[in-house]
Amino acid sequence: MSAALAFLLALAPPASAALSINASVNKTAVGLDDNIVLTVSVSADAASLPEPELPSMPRFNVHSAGRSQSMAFSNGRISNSAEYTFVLVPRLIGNAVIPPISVRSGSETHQTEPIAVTVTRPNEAPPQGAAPAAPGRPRPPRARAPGSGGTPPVFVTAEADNKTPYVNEQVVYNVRFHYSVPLMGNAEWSPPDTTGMLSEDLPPSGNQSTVIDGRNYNISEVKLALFALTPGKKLIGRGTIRCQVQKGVDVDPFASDFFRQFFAAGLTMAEPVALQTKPIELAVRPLPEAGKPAGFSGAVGSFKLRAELDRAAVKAGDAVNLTVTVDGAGNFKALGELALPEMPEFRVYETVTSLNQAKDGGGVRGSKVYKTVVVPKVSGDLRVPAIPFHYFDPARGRYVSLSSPPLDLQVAPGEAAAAPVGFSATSGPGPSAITTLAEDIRHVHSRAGSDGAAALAARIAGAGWLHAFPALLLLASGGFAYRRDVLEQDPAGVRARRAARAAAERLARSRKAAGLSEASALVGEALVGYLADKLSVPPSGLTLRQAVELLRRRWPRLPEGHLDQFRRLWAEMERLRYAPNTLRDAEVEELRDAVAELLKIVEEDTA
Amino acid sequence: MSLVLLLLLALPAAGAPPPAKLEEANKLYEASRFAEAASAYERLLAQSPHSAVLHYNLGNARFRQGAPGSFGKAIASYLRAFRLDPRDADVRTNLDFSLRRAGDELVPAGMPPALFAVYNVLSASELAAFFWAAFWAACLLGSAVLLAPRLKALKGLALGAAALGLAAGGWWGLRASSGFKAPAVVILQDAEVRSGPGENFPVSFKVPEGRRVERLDAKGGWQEIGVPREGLKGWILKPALEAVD
Repeated sequence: MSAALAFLLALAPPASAALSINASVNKTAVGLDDNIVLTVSVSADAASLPEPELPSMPRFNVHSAGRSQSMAFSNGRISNSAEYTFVLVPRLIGNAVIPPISVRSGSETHQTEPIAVTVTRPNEAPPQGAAPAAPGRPRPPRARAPGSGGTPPVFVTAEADNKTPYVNEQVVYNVRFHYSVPLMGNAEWSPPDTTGMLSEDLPPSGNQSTVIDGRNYNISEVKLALFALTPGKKLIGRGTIRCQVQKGVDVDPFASDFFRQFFAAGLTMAEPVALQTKPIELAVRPLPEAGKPAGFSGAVGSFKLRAELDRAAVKAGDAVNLTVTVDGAGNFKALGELALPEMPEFRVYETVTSLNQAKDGGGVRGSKVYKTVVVPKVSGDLRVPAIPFHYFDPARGRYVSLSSPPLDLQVAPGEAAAAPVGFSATSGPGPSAITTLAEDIRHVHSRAGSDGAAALAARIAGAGWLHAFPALLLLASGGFAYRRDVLEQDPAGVRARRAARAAAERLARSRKAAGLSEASALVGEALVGYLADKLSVPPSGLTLRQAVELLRRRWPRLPEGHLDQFRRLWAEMERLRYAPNTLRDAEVEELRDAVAELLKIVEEDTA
Repeated sequence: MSLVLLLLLALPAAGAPPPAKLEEANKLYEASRFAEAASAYERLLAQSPHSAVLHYNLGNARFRQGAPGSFGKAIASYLRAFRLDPRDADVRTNLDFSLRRAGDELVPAGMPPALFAVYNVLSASELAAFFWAAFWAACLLGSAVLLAPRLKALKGLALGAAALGLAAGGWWGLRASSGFKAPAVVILQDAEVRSGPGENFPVSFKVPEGRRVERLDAKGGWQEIGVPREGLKGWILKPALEAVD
């Protein structure tokens, strides 16, 4: 923006181009106790404006009451204008002329037309106790000679309208100069020391008069608007008024023979007088921290906010002026930059501000205008978001947050967007680069995608104790394998531990055998096999004696009755084997039960 | 075992939202009826809570809604979508865009974006699922080898599955121990954070809407939070937060 502005300024014609000056007054007839507002307008098609030169106006006290400036860019041209406001307080009754006001630019000079003004006597009734000077009206009591009463003929008072202001809160400092004797020339006013405060001159009220102790006093006022910059004690120092009064002559400025008195007094001696105001101490309060908004930039007073766009419908790429105006009462010089919200759909240029201050007896009022050029980057229904502004209201003692309503803007596709895209080797240095116009979120998804995988993963992750199953399986497998390995290393032990089960299987098979001889043989195998397995010897060739001997050796505490039973059953088995024709079911059954019973008892005793 | 597998295989169908309902909600969004679209997505999420697409679309609707708190809620939705599907480029883009608006950033400072992408290529659930799958494979193969020594050839596979499980478990553990453990998003503009759980404690700092914070302790209507990025800690009213679980 700065570069663009500099470019525009470079293109701008010199300040003399289309320079003009105009002056106007709000009235051409004014009472002695009133004032005239003189407005001088200077305009030029240039970036800088020359200051108007005010001529001498001895019949008026002249006070500056503000300046406002506006600048506009249109089709590469700058239009600049400033308006100066002056308050003219009449000093003498009669016809007066405001001389031409000039403005210079180089060798060129422009002037306003002179303005004739008539100053009349005060219209309103004279102050209490004062007699009108006009014929037919009661004459005011003649002023006494200086020093003849308790109140001096000239004195000054000063007061501040608020002695405990907040930081940046306006304080109106009012100095009232009372005089009851004619002044020789203009009084000189030296303002007080106001270190730590910003000071703005305020226009005085019209001439006033009052009667004190029977003496008729004229009153001239000087007003300042003060803004303390930091909290703490601040001192408004002594202001000084220097004037010359006639020695020993008492002239009534309201008398019909004022001029006669005045010129007669001119023959007398002038006495210099210096009057000083009393210093005033202010206790400046800091702005409270509680409730301070994040974007607060130091504005103190009472303000209103409005925002507007100069157009409601544009094309993408067209410039739009966003104007935000803060107006009200307060120290406008303390207003900081406006925090514009994020506007990703716009290209936002630097903000240009202009200040328009108007002063009256009550203080500084006016407006600060923030102008920002925004360029929509995309088409569509765009919206400039609400613009926030925060200030501290000293009357209410709290922060106030204002927000402008959002501004809608219809943006049609711009020229560039409508133009066909094409690449040509001769049309430019190369293919165009992609230009990001606005950053935004991506669009919603229209397909559900593979959300099931996420659900599956979540379900697997959240299966909890189910995941203990493979661990338990692995543990059990390890135990099984270990046992298996251990057993594989002790085959005799394994055979001995399985002896009873193998015998039981043979006995069971004998019950299902087809013939008695087969059943009998299986019972025998069960008995001999059991002994062979227990004793870890081959079953073939095992004799009863060998078996009994080994049993006694292996299990010495085995009861003898068990061995006798072995002997009996072995003999019975031999008998049945060698006399198969005599076999009976009952005998085989009895033998099987006896073998089963014996093996059970022996198994328990040898465990 | 068969029952478990059947159950797991049956799950994918339950995770996806009905296409017609999704399209209906998307039409509301495209008509700029963002509040209604958000409600529609929320109803679908009640049926399909693991749908990253629904969380993402809900985030978009909340982002555009412009209501108080909707921006913070949008970030919470994007975070849920990112947790479920960190490989989705749109989710990453919208989350990063929103976080930058809130003064935060998705990729931690000093971390190369490519490394961040690789580190987050799998969601925490997927890492956990990988770990458990490898654990199951290692255990079952190991059991088979132990029970049937003739299947000794499977021993290599069992060891490979165990190594994979260890890697996935380590990655999963690293992810679980870094970043936000109990994240929440601030859904109030400039939410005040006090030095204690009550209005009688002074405001220590303010947190902008959309910032991620860590949930710590809780007391009554107050939640203790930490802001790791700035190293701050304090108490905030519970309604000013939306937990991202």
